[in-house]
Amino acid sequence: MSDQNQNSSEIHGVVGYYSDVDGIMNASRKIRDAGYKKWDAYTPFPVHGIDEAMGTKPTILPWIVLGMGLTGLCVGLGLQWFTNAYDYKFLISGKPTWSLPANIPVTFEVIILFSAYTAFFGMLALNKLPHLSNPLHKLERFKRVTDDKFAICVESKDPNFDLARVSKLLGVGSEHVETCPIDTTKAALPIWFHGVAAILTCASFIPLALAFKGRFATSEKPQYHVWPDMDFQRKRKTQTAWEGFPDGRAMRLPVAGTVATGELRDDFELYHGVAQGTAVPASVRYDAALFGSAAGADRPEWLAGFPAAVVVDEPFLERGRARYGIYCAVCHGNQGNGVGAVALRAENLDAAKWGWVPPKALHSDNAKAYSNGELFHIASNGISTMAGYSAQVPAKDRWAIVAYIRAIQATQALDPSAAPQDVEFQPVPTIDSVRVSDSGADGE
Amino acid sequence: MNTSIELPKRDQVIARDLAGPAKAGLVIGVLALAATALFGLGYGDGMRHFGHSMLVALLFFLAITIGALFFTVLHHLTSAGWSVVVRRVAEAITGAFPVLFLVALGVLVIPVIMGSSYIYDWASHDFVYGGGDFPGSELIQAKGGYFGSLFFGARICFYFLVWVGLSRFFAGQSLAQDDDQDPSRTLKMQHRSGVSMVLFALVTTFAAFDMSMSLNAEWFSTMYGVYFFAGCFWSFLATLALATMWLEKRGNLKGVVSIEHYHDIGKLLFAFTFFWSYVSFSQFMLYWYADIPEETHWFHYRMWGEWTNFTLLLAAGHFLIPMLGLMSRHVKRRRGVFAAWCIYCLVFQFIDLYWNVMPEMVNGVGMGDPATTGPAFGMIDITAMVSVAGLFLFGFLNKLNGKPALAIGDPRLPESLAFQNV
Ligand code: HEC
Repeated sequence: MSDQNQNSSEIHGVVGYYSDVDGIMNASRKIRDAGYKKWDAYTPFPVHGIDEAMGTKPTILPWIVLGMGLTGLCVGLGLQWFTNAYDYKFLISGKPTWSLPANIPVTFEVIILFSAYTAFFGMLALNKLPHLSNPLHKLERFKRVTDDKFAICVESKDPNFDLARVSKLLGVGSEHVETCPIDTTKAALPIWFHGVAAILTCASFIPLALAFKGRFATSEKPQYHVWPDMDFQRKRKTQTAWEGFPDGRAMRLPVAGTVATGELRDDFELYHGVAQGTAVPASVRYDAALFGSAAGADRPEWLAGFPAAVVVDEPFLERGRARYGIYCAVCHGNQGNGVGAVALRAENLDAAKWGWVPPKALHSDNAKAYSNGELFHIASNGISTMAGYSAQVPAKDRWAIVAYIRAIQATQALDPSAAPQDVEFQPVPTIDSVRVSDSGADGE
Repeated sequence: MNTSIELPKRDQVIARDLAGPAKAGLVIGVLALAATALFGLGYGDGMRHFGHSMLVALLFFLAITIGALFFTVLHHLTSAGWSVVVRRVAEAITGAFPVLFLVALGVLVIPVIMGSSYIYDWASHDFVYGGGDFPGSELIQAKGGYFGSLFFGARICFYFLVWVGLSRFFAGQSLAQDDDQDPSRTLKMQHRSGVSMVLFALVTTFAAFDMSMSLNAEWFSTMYGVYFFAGCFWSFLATLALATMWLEKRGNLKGVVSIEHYHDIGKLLFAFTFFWSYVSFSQFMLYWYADIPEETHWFHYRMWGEWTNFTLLLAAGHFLIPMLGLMSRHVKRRRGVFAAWCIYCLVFQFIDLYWNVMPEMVNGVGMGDPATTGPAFGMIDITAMVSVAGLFLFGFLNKLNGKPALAIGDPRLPESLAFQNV
């Protein structure tokens, strides 16, 4: 205790050093009981129970985290409500635009985000970190606190501070007690630091500003090319012109008379639905001249039966039923009544106001009047607003579908009154019977 | 650091005089079983109510026991320190596996092998292939290879074989260490804990599929095993805290277990409250989103109809209330308050299992519509719980009787005794 005659206003505080945990615990209890507030214990590793010995009050951090967690709850829910149920109503998977189960995962993540950041930065802030300098670091002896010594420093700022009394209290069981002078080295950050910090801060707004400008400005200048050799390759792109070939096109046509593997399609019955050797109809969606009852003399010789390449038996019909279920039933309905899931959905959304054309029933007289070849042509190339399925469904499967449509037409034509009397007869729904009646609700 | 840790003497921690309570548990268990059977006959429903009530009770105590095994294996897998002082309690709880096996054999396996479908629809030929009043179920037919009564019986036996085997190994090594203080036993247990955990996870998952999920064999959820497991560990932690408090009161763990240990058990209990909610919500949400009839029907009759309020009760009582209740450290650091929450958790574990099993009682072969037939809680459910509780206590106390209630040979015991939460 060499320098006790120093004036207490010139010192930062008094430091006591201890050689073990028990020593610092005892000293902490003494300081705590003496009612000091501005002091701290320094140890080389976390010491269990020291907070109790120091009389540290439980931290309020949990409450802050709880508060921010609840804030996250509101923000998460609010964000989803505003974006999806208020500002821009958007239908996802047919769920209500505002539905809790769908919102919970995002809400959960936002709660975690808020709580985790609050816990991390709140801990730093409550511990007054980062703490760039401390007068204690000037003491030679204090350096051992990062290794194997324990220390307590009572600061002179404490209202009860009394040099002699504190020194005595700290002295019990201590190795050494010394005062710590006020750190008089210039603590201010160098001037260039402020300058650099200001510049960096401004610079960090540049990307944001550019993005903002990009939203409102148009530019005539060509795009900047980072990888010119990749952007400008020595090759011709598809569907472009090139004077290098006599016809001026960059793309080549197949050599005349060649047929790609599997594309021969010389079985007219199987692939085109017309009699072998007759004129092949174009693969277009709809051509009134070729088609249906209105067709004139150009009407192809549509096949009435099935091509020789397919055998219409039970497995074939079963195949047709399955393919129909996969490709056609979403619109035309399992019973071929035109009430598939898509149709139902569109009805409920009142999609007709956007020009939606409902799928037709496949057991109507009109549909019955088609020959097999025509049905096949429709399944392959589509009709009117319906697209064709030749790209997805192989020819034989399309014929199986045709066979199955015929089966639907045959069974749907049965007279309900002929059904057995003990069976309750339920009429097949039509689109009118399922139409939601309140379609005037958002009346346009 | 705290050099003043005193190791308890072996004599001091031996749990003596438990033979009496164990025997009482056995007698009560058997008597209550008889009463349950009588009640069951009274229903005149082909023992269907009896079967389902017993299944709930069996699952309840099996869950605790499974949780205890998990805790033991996890302790070694992570080479945990703090939990040494309570590990013996967990090891003793796993002593209930054999007696629970007998219950499973009697209630589930033997009746199914003898051709009864009083619990499981898939065991009824008519229900699966059509006949009598049933149209048959294509979905179950497609799973026909899995649902055979002999195969089922063999699987259940295999699960218990694994559980009993694992629990005997870990408890046995630990007891032997009491005598020889050999730290190499700890290493041996740690080495085997990895593969044990994998085995445990598979067996527990499939046990949940077979014993509970297959009540509605058309339904399926790959998460069901985790869901069941979440309840296992949750209810085990509550049981662990209560059993430890009881042993402390008896003087077997006096001065050994401190509030710090309860605090840690409480933290896990809190975490697994959330884990259960996370898993059960994930299971629900995927089905809700995809909205495919053969997946949603299981939830549908639980959520719309007579079970609606019960489901809401579960969501609030199993998640919201305990989550908020167990959040504070002060709750976990007061023995009395914490004990009350542990009992609360056990009640809701029961409600969870009841919600899983009971709607299936009227469903399927029960020939009713669970949406219009709500919970039918009765004396039979209470006696069933009492009966399996008695048998469970018998297995647990019998295992502990005359042995140290503390793993005194564990090299990490001093660390655990000195354990403090910051
Ligand atoms: C995306 C919905 C959709 C799918 C899928 C669909 N269709 Fe269509 N289909 C329609 C619509 C819409 C019409 C009516 C077109 C019109 O009149 O503008 C129609 C009309 C038809 C017609 C004519 C009916 C008549 O009375 O003139 C036939 C035949 C037909 N579809 C067969 C099929 C077959 C076979 C499939 C499966 C390969 C199929 N459709 C798949 C929407 C669909």
